[in-house]
Amino acid sequence: MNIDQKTYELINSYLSGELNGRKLDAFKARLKKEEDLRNKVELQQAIIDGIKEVRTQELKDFINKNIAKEKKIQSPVFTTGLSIAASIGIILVIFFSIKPFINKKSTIGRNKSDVDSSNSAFSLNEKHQNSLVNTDSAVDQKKSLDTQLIAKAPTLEQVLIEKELGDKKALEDEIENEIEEVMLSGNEDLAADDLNEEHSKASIDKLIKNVKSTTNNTLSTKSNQIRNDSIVQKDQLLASSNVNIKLLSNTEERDDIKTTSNPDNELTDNSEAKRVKSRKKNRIKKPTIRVEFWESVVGFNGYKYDGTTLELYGVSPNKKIALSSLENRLYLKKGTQYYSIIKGNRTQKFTPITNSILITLLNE
Amino acid sequence: MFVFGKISDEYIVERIKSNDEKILLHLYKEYHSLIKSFIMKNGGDNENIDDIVQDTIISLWKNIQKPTFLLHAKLSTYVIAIAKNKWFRELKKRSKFRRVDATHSRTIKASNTSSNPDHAIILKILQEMDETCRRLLAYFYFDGLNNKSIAEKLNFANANTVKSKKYQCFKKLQATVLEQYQKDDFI
Repeated sequence: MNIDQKTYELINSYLSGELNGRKLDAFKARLKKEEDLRNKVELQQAIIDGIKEVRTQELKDFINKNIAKEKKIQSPVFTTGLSIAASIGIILVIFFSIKPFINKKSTIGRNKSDVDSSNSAFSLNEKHQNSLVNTDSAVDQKKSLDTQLIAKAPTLEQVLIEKELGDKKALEDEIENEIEEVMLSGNEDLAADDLNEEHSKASIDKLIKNVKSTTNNTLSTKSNQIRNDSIVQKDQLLASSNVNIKLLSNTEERDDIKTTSNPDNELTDNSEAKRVKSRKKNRIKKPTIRVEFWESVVGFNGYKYDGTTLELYGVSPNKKIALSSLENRLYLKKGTQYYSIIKGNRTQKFTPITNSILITLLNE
Repeated sequence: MFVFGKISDEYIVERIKSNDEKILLHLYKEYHSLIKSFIMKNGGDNENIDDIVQDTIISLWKNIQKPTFLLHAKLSTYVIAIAKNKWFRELKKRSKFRRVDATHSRTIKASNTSSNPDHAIILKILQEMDETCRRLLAYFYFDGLNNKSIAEKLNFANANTVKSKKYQCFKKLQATVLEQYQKDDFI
């Protein structure tokens, strides 16, 4: 079934309703007569319907696809996600916008706390603190990152050194200025008094030496002042003395008790004499221990005993103390109270003795 | 173009005449609720709404693209009129199907397709055919565009080129359909 262009166009016009009048009648007459033409019209109509359907489907697909896409975009999950993302974004923007201020504050606070914590070791004057803050802010301006700031933050010693160097430089500048002034005035004087060059040189040298010596003095006093400002606060030794240890033997006492409680046993004069002798010997052999009286910065009350020296904290040197040793244990008597002293490398608190038997033994 | 933040009817007509498919999305969103409320009031359910809305919008598109089209009323009135026709036709179809028994409907279907090539074959061939030919034929038969407009849209030299290209495309399509139809007929 081949179709020529003329017939195709004619069928198109007929199907679209463009044919009218005589042309339409003539075409209808042909349709009645020609079966081939009827088939051609039917086929063309079917194909046109198909084309229309395909196009309709194409447009429907376009609508569905885009509406689905929009619905997906506006879905509650997406909206919630979007709002969360937006909130996070806003928070981040706010955080980063105020971060420099937080950093500045925290750095200042950190430095202040450093100064506070090291107060026992250092005390800074206001000038130094300002220089510390200024240095920090300079670093802050250069590098806003906190980590970098921490790394770059100068130590207290650095600040002091920088300060000293700065002072020295300023003074050197002052010297140079003074020298220039002297030279100028010297020249003026030369012109005025008509002195020779050698004389003027000598006078200038003298002046320079004078100025230098005075500035050196100023520098040294200034540096001393800076050093004096740094007061090291630490525990202070108030006094020290050697104290005898009263040696007490529990077994000996027991023996005494035994002997006294046993009247049947007759003691010979020799044995009694020997005992007294040994007792005397024991008493003569009194060991001494070095006792140091310390004043604690933090008001600590306690002791440190390393076996040779007993450091007492919070005990006045004027207070009467006594040391006793019983069964290789050292006891400190402070006032009327006894305290046990334990050997160790660390400072320990005073532990009062409450055992009445021990107290009786120590009191004897 | 815009009336109180809304796209004017004239602008919509202009966009449809220019074959701007994006306006279909606006029409769908704009008239969906209006058509839906009409269908719901007239015995419809949610199931049919999307189909009716889509059919209405596409009919509006087709009608506006006809060279003889003139908008005498508000576009919304025109849209509702199309939707009304579509919905009542749908209701009529449903009542018809209820009355006609299965055997009778099968006889009708057989008699209808006996003289025509199979509809599914045509659709399949159309979907597989060359993109330019498919668009050209669609613009001509569905959108009702004249040869000059098609030439502008598809970058053809002139209306005569479109006319001859259209004939060639159709001839090729017809031959393929017949070939396929005859092949299926012998199986």
